[in-house]
Amino acid sequence: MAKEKKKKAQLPIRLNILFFIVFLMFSVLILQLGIVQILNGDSYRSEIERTIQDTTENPVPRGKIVDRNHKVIVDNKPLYSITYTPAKGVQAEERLKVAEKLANFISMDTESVTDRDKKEYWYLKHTDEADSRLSEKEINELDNAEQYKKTLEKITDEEIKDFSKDELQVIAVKKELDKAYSLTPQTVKNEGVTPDEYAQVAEHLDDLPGVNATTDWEREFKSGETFSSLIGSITSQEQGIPADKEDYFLTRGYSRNDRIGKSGLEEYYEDMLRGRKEKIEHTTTKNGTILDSKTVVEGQRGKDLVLSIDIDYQEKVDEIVRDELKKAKSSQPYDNRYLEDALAVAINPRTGELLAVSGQHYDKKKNKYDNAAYKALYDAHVPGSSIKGATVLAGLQSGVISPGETIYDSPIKIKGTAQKSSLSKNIGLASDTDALKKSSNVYMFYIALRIGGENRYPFPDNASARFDTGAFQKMRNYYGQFGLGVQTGIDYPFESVGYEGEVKNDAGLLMNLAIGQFDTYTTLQMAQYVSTIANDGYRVRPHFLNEVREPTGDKDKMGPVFKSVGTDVMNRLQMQDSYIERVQEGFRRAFQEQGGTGYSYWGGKSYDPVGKTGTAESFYKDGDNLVETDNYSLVGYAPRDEPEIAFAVIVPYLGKNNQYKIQHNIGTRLMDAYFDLKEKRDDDSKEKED
Amino acid sequence: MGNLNNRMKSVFDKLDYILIMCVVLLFVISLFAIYSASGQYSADPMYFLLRQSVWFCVGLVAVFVMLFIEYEHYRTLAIPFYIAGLLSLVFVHFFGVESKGSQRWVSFAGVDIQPSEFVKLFLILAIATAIYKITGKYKVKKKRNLYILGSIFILSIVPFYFIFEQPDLGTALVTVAIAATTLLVSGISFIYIAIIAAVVVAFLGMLVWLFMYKPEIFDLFFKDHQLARIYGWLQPEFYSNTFGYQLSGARMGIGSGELFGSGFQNGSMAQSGRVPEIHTDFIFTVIGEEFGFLGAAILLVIYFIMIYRMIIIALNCKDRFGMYMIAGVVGLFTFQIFQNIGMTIGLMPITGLTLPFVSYGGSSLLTSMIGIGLVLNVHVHTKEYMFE
Repeated sequence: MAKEKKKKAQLPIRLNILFFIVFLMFSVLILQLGIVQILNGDSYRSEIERTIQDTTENPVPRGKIVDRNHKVIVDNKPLYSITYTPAKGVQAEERLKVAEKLANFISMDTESVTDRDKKEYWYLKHTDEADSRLSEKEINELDNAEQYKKTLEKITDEEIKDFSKDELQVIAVKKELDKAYSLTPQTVKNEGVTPDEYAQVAEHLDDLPGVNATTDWEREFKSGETFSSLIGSITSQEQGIPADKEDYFLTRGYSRNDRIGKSGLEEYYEDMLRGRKEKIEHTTTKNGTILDSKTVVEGQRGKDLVLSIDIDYQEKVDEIVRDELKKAKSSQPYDNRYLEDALAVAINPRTGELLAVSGQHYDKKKNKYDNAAYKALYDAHVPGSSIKGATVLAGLQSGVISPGETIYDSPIKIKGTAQKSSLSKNIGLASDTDALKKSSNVYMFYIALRIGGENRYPFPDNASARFDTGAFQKMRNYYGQFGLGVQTGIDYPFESVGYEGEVKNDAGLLMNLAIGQFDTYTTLQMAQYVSTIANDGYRVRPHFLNEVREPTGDKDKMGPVFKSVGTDVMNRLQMQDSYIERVQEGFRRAFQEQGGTGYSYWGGKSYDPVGKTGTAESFYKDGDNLVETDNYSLVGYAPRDEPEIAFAVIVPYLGKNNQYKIQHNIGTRLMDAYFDLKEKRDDDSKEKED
Repeated sequence: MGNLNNRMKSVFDKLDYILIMCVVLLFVISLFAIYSASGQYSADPMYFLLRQSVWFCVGLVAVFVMLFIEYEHYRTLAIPFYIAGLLSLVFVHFFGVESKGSQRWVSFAGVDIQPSEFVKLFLILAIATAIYKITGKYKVKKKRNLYILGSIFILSIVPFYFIFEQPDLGTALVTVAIAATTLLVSGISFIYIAIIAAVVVAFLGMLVWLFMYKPEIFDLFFKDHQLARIYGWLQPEFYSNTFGYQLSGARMGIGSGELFGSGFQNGSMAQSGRVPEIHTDFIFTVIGEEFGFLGAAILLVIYFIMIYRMIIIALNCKDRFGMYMIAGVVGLFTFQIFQNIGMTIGLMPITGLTLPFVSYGGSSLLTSMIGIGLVLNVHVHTKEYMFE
C-alpha cells in the first residue's frame, strides 16, 4: 500500500514536467513570432510593398544608320499610335468595356476578325445563355478551359451572322486588346491613325483604363532600295522576338512583342541599335489598380551606326551595275539569256572600309531589276584568271619559280586529259609579270605541276604527270592568306566561304585551281584578295561599320562617338615584299601596257589603275541541262602607289559568244565615278573654305 | 426520464467551462480566418465558413454523446477501435484517393475522410489502455518498464509506418508525440526516458552534422520531396520560386503583420493567392498577417490556457487511465500547434498538418473536438469518485 502511494505521488511530477515542456514550446513560438513580426516585420513589410510594385518597359526607337559622311540611310518615321497596357488580372469583361468605348474614337480594319473572335464577343454579351447550354455532364467532367471551348462551339453561325458595323469595330478593337500581356504596352492601332483619332483618344484617356495615345515609329529607308537589302529588316510587333531565340532575348531584357533586327546589319548590330527601354514603376493595389507611376529609368533610343559606305557613291555604283547589266542583256539577248546577276564591291584596301557593295539581279519572271547587294557576300562563282596574282605569289614563295623566270607558253597535254592552253594564242616566252599581263594559263599550269611534284620542263607531250594530291591543300593555304576560300571576317550575319572542288588524283584539276577554274569565291573574297595585294600583303577585315555614336535629341547632329572601328589586320602574307611587288607590277602591266589584257579599257586612266581580268568557264543549270557559259571577273585598285580604292566585279553566266565586256565597263565606270565624286567633294569643300 | 434529466444536469454541472470557452473562442477565430482566407479558393466567401460551422456542430453532438459514456468503458472499445483504425489505414494505402502527391483520403458518402486523423485518437486510447493494464498487473518495476516501453513502441510503430508511407510526415510525427507524452507519464523509470532522449538527440545531432558536412550522405536518407522541403525550409528566399515559395510567402505575410496586423481581409499575402493552402494548413498566415503579433499572441494564449486546463484536469483525476488519455491528447495538440505555427514562421520544416480548431477541414475539426470530449469526460466523471 505504501508502495502504491509513492507511485501516485510520482505522477504529478511527471505531469508537471510535461507542462513545463509545453510551456517551453509555447515560449519558443512566441519568441520566434516576436523575431518575425516585431524585429524583422519592417523588412518583410517593405518587401511586400516592393512586390506589388510592377514595372512597365516602354520601347524606344532604334538607332539611325548613316553613311560615312553622316548622310542618313535609315531613320525612324514617327507614327501616331494607340496602345493598351492592361493592369494585372484584367478580365475579359473589362476589356470589352474598354473596347466598346475605344471603338467610338478609332476605326479599325475589320477584315481580320474571325468567327472565333465573333463567338468570344457573343459569349461575353450572352454569358448566362451560353453557359446554360452546357449539359450537367459537361460541367462535371470538363475543366474550365474545355468548358469554354465547348461553349464557344455551341454558338451557332446564325448567332454571329448579323453583327452591325459598330459591333464589328468593337470586336476588332477587343481582338487587339486581348493580345496584350499585363503591364506591357500593346499597340492597338498604329497604321493610319489620323490626327483626329489621336486627339479624340488622348482627350478621353480617363475613361479608357490602360489605353494610351503615344507616338510609335517605323523604319524608313531614306535612299529607297539602294543598300536596303544589306541593311536588312526588323520584326513586326506581331512577330516579336523569334521563338527559337526566345530564351536568348528574354534574358537580355526584351519583351515578347519587341521588334528586333531579323536580318542584315539590323540583326548584326541589334545590341547597338536597340536602345534602353524606358522603365516605369507602377504602384498597384492588390487588385491591380495603378495608384502611382514614376519613371525609374529614362528611356534612350538606340545608338546610331555610322557606316563606311558612301551612300552617294553606293547609289552611283548601283546605277552603273544595273545599267551595264541591262546593256549586256540588250546587246545580245539570246546569247546572254542566262545572265541574271552583276556583282561589285568597292573597298578601301588600307582600312577595310567598304565603300559600296552592289548586286543587281534580273528577275526573269517579273522582268524587272532588283537590288540584291547581299549576293556579293552570299553567292560564290569560279572567277577565272583574276586570281592569278595569288597563284604567281604561291609559285614564288614555294620556290617553284624564281622572280623573272620565263616559261614558253605552249599547250600542255597530259595523258588521259584534254590539251590545256592559254586563251590567247601568241604569248610566247613569258616571265612572271608577262604571265599576269597577258594572262598566261600555261605559266600557272607549270606552277601547279611543280607544286604537285612534277618538275619536267617542257612537259613531254602526252606523258603522265607525277602528282601529289596534297598540293590542293598547299595551294589553298596560299589562297586562304588572301581571303580566298575562307571567311573574310565581315561584320554581317552571314557570308559564304565559297565551294571547294572535290580533290581527285588528277593533275588537270590542280591546274584548273591555279587559273580560278575549280574553287568558287564570293565577290567580297575577291575584293579582299586584291586589297591584300594592294596593301602590300596585309589582309584587313572588311567592315560596314565605322563608328557607333551616342544618340542625341538634335535631329541634325550626331552624338559623341561611343565606339569606333579601326583597321583590323587579319594576317600578313607570308611572302617576301619583293615577290608582292612582282605581282603588283604584273597587275600594272596588265592594265597600263599595250598588249595587257585590260589595256584597251584602262590604258588612258589618269588615276594609275592596276588589276587583273578573268574569264572562267561555267555551267548554268537550265532545268536538267547544264549549259556552257562564261563568268567574267575583274579585280583592281588605284592609285598604284597609294591605293585608296580596290574593287572586284563578278558577272556570272554570260553567253559563250558574248562580246560585251561588261566587267571592264563596270570596273572603269565605278572607278571613274569614285574619282569624280572625290574631286567634286574636294571642290565643294574648297568653295566652302573660300 | 427523470433519471436522464438528473444525469444531464450532473454532466452540465461538472463541465469544465474554461476549457469549453477556449474551444469556442478558437472556433470564432477560425471563422474569421477562414472567411478572410477563402478568397483564393472559392468565389463564395461563405462556402468554407458554413461547412466549417456544420462540422463544428457535428463535433458538438459527438462530444455531447461521448459525455454520457463513462470513460472507463472506453477501455473495452480501445482495441477494436485501434484495429479498425489500422484497417482503415491499410485500406487507404491500397484504395485511397490521391491528392497533391499524397494518398490520405477515402471518399465516403460524398465526404472525403482522412482516417489518419481518427487513428491519432484511437492510438491514444490504445496506449492508455495498455499502460493502464500493465501498471496494474506488473508490480515489479523492472519487468513493468520493459512491457510499457514495448507496448508503446509496438502500438505506435504500425500506424506511424502506414501514415509515413502515405506520405504524411506531419501526422506520423504526431503519433510519435503521442507515444512520447504517454511514455513520460506512464511511470516508466527516468533512466529509460533519459536513454531514449539521448538516442533521439544523438540521432538528430547526427542528421544535422550530416546535413552540414556530408550532404551527399544526408541526401540518401530522404526522398526527393522531403529534401526539397528541408531545403525550402532552411533557405525559403533562395528557393522562393519552387519549394520555398509557400514558406517565404507565409513568412513575409506574417512578418509584415508586425504588432497590430494589416486588418481583417487586408493582408497583402493572405489575399494575394501567393500562399497555397492558406485556408487549411497555412491558416496561421491570415491570423499573423491580418491581426499582427497581438492577434497571434492571443491565439497562442488561448491554446496555452486550453492545454493548461487539460493538465490541471489530469492532475485532479485520481485515475491513471484518465491521466494517460489526457497526456496523449496534450501531446497531440501541443505537437500540432507547435509544428503548424512553427512551420509558417520558419521554425519547423513544412508538413501537412492542420492547426487544431482553426484550420478548415472536417476530419481535423472533428478529431480535435473528440479529443476535447475525452478530456471533458475525464473531468465530468472524476468528481463522482471523490464521494465514493
